[in-house]
Amino acid sequence: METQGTEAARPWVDKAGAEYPVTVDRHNLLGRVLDFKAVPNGVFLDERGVIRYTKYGGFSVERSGDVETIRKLIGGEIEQQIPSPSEAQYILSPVDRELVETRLRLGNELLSRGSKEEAILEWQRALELDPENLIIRKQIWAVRYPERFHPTIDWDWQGEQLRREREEEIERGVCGPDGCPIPREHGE
Amino acid sequence: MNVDINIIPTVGDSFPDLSLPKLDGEELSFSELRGRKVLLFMWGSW
Repeated sequence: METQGTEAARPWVDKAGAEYPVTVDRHNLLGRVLDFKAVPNGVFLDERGVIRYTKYGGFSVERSGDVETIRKLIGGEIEQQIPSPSEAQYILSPVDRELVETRLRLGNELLSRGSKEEAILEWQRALELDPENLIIRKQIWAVRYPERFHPTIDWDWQGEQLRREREEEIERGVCGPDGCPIPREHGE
Repeated sequence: MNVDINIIPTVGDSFPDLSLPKLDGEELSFSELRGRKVLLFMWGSW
């Protein structure tokens, strides 16, 4: 999932010594089609191309639970695993999903032409429709705050920045298509 | 490539017939992967 394209992804693939095919999803096609809002993800397909497992966010080969499930799927011990119910606070209509994609693509086009600030504006418009989408949010961060990603990723900063941005968005009423949850009054 | 945006594929559904470019520039069509079990791992550099 790499808006900055092949050259941003390549060093990571080389470092991992990957021997499997690697594709570059510059416009979040998979995110739009599968409707996930975060990576890292694992999706397992059987020989007929049927989806048998999905984990959106937090999938890791360093998590023994994830590895164990994949092992059982490969070995045929289990046929599939039904995913946990989504914790999303809203569901986007197909029209809104198309609109998000249009704004992401426009932002990518602007970035490739060197119009960084305008690109960020378009991505922010996409994020306003889908504020829980961490892929869009991190895409903005990577371009806006590159020092937080190179030479290493500042995970602590990401946690704080997410909190700050969500507070500010909620204040402005940006919570998704159904609006913000009504805050509790003191004493309730 | 035909993708119906009204249906979100999940466990039990066929993986949609998409293609994406590989690092070497060639296209990978997901339907090419049939015939073997496949683990897709999706990540971002951020």
